[in-house]
Amino acid sequence: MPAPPKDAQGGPQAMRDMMDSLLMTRDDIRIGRVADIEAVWDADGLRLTHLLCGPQALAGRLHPQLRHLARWLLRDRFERRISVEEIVAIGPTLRLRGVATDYKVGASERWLAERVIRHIPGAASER
Amino acid sequence: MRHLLCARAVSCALLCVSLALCLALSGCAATQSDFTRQTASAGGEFAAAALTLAGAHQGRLTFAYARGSFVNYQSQLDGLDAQLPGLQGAPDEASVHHLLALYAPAMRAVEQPCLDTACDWRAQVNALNRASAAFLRAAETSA
Amino acid sequence: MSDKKEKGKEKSAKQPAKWLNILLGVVTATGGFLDAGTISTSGAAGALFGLGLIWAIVLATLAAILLVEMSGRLAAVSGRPYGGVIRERFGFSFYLLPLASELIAETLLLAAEIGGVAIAISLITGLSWRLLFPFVALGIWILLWRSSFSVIENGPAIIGIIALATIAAVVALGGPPPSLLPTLWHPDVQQGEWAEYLYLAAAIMGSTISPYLLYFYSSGAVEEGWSRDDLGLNRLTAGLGMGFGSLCSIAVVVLAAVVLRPHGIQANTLGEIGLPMGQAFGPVGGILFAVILFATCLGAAFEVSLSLSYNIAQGFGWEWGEGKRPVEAARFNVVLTALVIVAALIGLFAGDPLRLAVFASTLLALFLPFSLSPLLIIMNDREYLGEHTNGRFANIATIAVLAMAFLVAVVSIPLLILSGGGG
Repeated sequence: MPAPPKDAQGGPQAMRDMMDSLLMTRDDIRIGRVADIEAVWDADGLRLTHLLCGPQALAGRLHPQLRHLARWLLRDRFERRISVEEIVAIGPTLRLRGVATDYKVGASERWLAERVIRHIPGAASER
Repeated sequence: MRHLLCARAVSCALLCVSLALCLALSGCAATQSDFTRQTASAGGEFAAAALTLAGAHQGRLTFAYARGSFVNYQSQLDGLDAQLPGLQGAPDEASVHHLLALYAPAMRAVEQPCLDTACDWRAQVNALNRASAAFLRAAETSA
Repeated sequence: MSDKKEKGKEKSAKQPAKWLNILLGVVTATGGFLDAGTISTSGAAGALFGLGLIWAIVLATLAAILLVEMSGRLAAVSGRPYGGVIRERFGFSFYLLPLASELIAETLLLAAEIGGVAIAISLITGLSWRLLFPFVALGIWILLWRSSFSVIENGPAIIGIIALATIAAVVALGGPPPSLLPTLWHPDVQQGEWAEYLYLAAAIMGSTISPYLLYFYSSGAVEEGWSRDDLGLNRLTAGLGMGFGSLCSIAVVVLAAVVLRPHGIQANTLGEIGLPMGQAFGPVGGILFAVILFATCLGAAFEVSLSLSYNIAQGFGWEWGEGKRPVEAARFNVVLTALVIVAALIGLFAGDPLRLAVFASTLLALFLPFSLSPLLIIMNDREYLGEHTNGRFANIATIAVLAMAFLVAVVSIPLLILSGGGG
């Protein structure tokens, strides 16, 4: 498996640039935006490990206390993490290695499509 | 974060200036009393009803257009008789009574406009015009 | 055949399509300029203050042309719509401000637009608009669900070009009488009417510089695959289309000033605003007005509901687009459906669509700074626009528009309270 681009591995600037970036999969499907990032300190300094998506991470962006509240309410049910290894290109759009169905981010899109939208007449036909 | 702080500061500034402006404008008589506003609005509405009714019978509008319009005139004017005496800036009782006396027949025309040939549409137009003139005059004198 | 001849042939074959595109763009922008908000505020302006608020329409149109051109340029050069760029460039917390404000003001506006369509049908059929309202809302949702972007964008706008009949009506009535002309530069505002005058000016600004235009226009440009080659089309569409549209708006002011004002009619309902058309053309005039109202409100209902759904989907990074089948953009279509349902519920209980439209326009005016200020920074970002960033003139003009937006926002709420909501 090829390594992620060098920028994606760390550096505060690169991390800041990734925040709120669009996540696009190999099959050109938008699955969400980066809500937050997870990083660790190791021998090389600060190193990015995961991209976070979901309501708890977003709530934390507004206020740290809100993250706790959202966590208490939602119990991590909708929280999604994507390993930094999955990133193949960075920029305002982060291109991911896999196809949309490989990721839990965007699962609500598929759930709604299958459970709700598909039952409405005309949902699956060309406009 | 910087953008957010900036946006919060802007929101606070907008609120403060808005409040100051609110006080300033109300202090320098930039506004009308409720009575003036309501009577002017009702006078205009009766005039519109008269113009619509006459227009339908004189071939300037279709009857469907008039019918569609009267539904809205009615909802604009409904309940004004109950509100009028208690409105801020209302004049003496006799003046309000005079307006209410003209309101009743005009309102009957608004509720049941004569939109065929079997009724006296001219009488309705006259009632509407009389009410309109009286309400507009009341608005002017109370301003 | 030589290469040159081949190229010439290719070019001439492409030429009509290009001109057709420009014409369609201009027609769409002209028809799309008017909506329940602009018709209501223009009618009320003419009926209450003669020609004394035309300056506000001209000023707001110039601002709208500038802003719409910029949002189109952003989409054509970067391939990214305005809503998504706000989140990327300013972060999630800031993005929520324009989103929340749009959500409040434009859901109300959507309810007013649905009401406008219902009133238009009631003026043609004579049925009560309240009776028609739920069916209109359902019809709008079905069209949004089933139609492609080009049908949504061009269909109502092409019918809406009939709005040019308002200019013909001004001519047919002999134009404004000489006694009315001085109100153009010296508005006839009586003591006690200043709050209402300024309130209407703010509402005109809000209804003309509606931020939904920016989200819709830039998203439409992405949906249609605009590139740098379309920058000329973008300029023409924004300038000519909105220019013609604002002429129709001014014509509504003049008609109301000439016909309604002498009777003391305040244009409190949408039907009243069509009375001058009957005066000018007879029964056909009323029908023409109803068709204009129908097409413009229908187009605006599409634009408002789509722009909100675009904004949410782009901000959260979901699949979006009217070109996709609903199952391919499920979250986007759920939001779209939910918005139409909420707006329909508001419209059923909120009363007259005209008042709702004016109120929504004032709220839009209040929130203008949140939606417009990011544009100044984005349009100077080379990462998105390369060599097509704003020039000095565009930046100065944008700063002037922002200053105006702040001023309008500051005055809108006190005026809303003091003028009794325009009514």
